[in-house]
This record gives sequence, structure tokens and C-alpha cells, in this order.
Amino acid sequence: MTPNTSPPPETPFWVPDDVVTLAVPAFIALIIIEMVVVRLSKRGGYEAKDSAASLFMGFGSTIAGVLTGGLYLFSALWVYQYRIFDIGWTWQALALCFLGEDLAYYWFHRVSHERRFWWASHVVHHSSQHYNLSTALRQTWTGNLALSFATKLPLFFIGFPPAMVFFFSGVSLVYQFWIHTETIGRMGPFEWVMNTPSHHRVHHATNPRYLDANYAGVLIVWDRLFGTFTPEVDHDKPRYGIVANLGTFNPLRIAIHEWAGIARDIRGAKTVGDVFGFVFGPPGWTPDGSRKTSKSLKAEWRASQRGAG
Amino acid sequence: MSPELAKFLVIQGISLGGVLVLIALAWLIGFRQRARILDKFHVWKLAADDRVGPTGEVAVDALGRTALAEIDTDKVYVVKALGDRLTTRVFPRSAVAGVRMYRPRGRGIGARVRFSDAGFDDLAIEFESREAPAWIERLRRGAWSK
Repeated sequence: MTPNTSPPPETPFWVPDDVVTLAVPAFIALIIIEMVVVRLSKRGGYEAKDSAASLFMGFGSTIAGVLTGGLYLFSALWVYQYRIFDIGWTWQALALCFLGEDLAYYWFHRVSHERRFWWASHVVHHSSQHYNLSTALRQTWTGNLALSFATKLPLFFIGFPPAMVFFFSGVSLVYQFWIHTETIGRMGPFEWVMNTPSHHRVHHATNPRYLDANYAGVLIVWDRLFGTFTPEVDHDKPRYGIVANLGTFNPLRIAIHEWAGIARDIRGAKTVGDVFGFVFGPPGWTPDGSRKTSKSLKAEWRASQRGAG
Repeated sequence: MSPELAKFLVIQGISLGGVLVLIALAWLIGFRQRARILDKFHVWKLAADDRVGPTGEVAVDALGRTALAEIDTDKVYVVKALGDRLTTRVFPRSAVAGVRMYRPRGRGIGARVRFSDAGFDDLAIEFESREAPAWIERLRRGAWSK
């Protein structure tokens, strides 16, 4: 296959380089507004140290992004050389790219929960026991190193210009900011198609009913399509965090604890199969089943529900 | 300095400023609630809620910041006040990487328990008495109390 080294098509209109950076002032303003609303309404919660940890994780992720983003950029441009189509900046292409990016995000997100190697990066985002707009900024420092962008590479292979894909990735991240809140309830028909605070509260919850659900970025339709949608129910209020909650606000510990856990488990592994299981099995996997996975927790919960019924 | 680097540093500086403003605001607004472990009955209730147990010996920090309890013969139940939340975890005995005794100022004795889990800070438990509970001492020596 001969590489196509012609440059990506010029953008016919202004496209921001970095949507997320442009949105930072809005992030700060909205967090301040939410803090005031929480204080006045008692709906939702904040804790200064928890928010500090989240905000420093977010700040650190921007530095880590600069240090490791080259890996993603290099991979994208390399794959783009072998593109099937030369897709220009048309409205139809923009619509398709938005859908493609959102679908790729769904699969990135699902794999990030179902396989420990990627969970080790993504767990950072779930490690707060609070759910507010500052939690949205609690981001990984190791995502690019774990090749978390792999599910986006087919988009470059199809021929979507890298700048277009990066733009929609930014839009997705900005969209997902506002849904990290307890101050907004249900949103009626909007919830049929779009990811909303209610859907995403479910995603961040550790109640067995809610585990491994609602992976959507912008459109919740992917969860409905692939069978991972779970609605929020009033009688089971979400409890946030991770199944084995952290006992630290230290950003470095938050960033690397699961990687350290993988390394510790590998050191104790007896077979190559065990090593593979500890790295690429579901979070909580052990050869002897002594820890619990989301699947086993859900199964226990379902059995207890049947027993209660 | 290249213009790109200068731009990056300016953006990072503004972002860091924003982070510090938000933390200060959260503190000023009063989001400084602290959770507290009341007593061993509180630990028993938390353990029951977590479907853990039965617990054996229980040690609670004099200021209610931390607690440690035995479960079965080979696990410990850990409670730690983390901001306004009580974080609970069950660790196998093998995850207790070390226990160090120390003399805290104005209090009898303290035990600093270190875990092999990088996601859990050392657990400091201080006691009013001059001696730590015997089972904590045995934990320090690597022996189990049963």
C-alpha cells in the first residue's frame, strides 16, 4: 500500500486549534456558579480538598497531554497516509465525523472500563466520591501512553482530516463537562438521544445496578444500541467513586495507583496467563476469583434481588 | 523562547491561577466539612453496611480520623475520613506493608500503618493511652492476633 503524502485539505472556515482551552474560562465560571447553587440549594456537594485534587489532576493532564500528545498525533498522521478516501471539509463530512468520533469515543470508554490496562488510566476520572463540575476535570495523565486513542485511528484510515477528528474530540470533551452535576435533574425527551447529567450520574455510580453502564460521550443512542444503557432510578441514589475507593487526595497517587497495582500483581503472578489476565482482564480479575469484578458484583446483586423478591 | 512555548506557559499560568481561585473559593464558601468516626459501634455499623464482618478487635483514632478493625483471620477493615466522606476498604493482611509506632505530641501513642496499595495513604491512629492495643502491637510484629 503506497502512502498518500498529500497534505490534509485546507479548512474553508475558522476551526479552533484547541476547543478545550477556549472553554476553560467557561469551565471556571460554571464551577463557581455550581458552588453557589450547591451552597444555596443543598443539592449536590463540594469538598475543598476533593475539588483541589480534581483540579490539579485536570491541570496536570494538560501538561501530560503536551508531553505525550505527540504519540497520538504521530499515530494519526501515520494512519492518515493510508486513508481510503480524501474527505474534505463539507457539512456532510462534518456530520459523519461527529457521529464517527462519538462512536469511537463510546468504544474507547467501554474498553477503558472493561479492560484493566485502560482502566488504569481512566480510573482517575472516577476516583472522586463527589460528583460535581470539578470532577469533570479530574483527568488521567497516562491516557496517551496507554494508547487510549486507538479507537479513533479508524477515522483517520477512512480519511477524515486529523484536524476535523481532533475538533470533534474537543467538542465531545467540552460537552461532557456540564453533565457532571447533581444540580440538574431529568431532562425529558432530551434524554432519549443525548447524554445528560442523569445518564452520566449512573455512569459514575458504584451501586451494582449501575456498574458498567452509559459509556456515551455526546449521544446516549450508542448505549441504547449496544445494550449498555441503564436509567437512573429514584429509589437507588447513586453512590460515587470506585468499588475500592481511594484513601488519598495526593494527585500523584491518584494518577498511578492502578498502574502500581498492576505491577504488584504481575510480580506475584505464577503463569503467563495470569500476567495477561492481570493486565488485560477486567478490573478486579484474579486467577482464584478472590477479588470482585463488575460482572460478579452485578451477578451477586441480581441474585440478592431475586432472593428478596 | 519560542512563541508556542510562551503561549503554552501563559495558558498554563492562567489555568493554574483559575485552579487556585476555585480552591480558595470552595474553602471560603465553606466546603470544609470533615467526617469523623465516632466510636467502635460506628465502625461496626459501617462494616455491616459494607456487608463485611464480623469484625474482631477495633481501634479508633482519638480524633476520629481513622479506624482499623480485624475481619476473619486474614483481613483488616480500614476506615479513613477523607474530607467529608468516610472511605472504607478491606485489605488482606498481606497488604499491610508495615506498622510503625510513634509518640504524638500531647497524646499517648500513635501507630502509622502503611499499605502496599498506592491509592491509600498511610493510616495514622493515635491513642490517648501510653500503650497501643495489644493486637496493633502484634500487627506491627507481623503476627496475627488470633
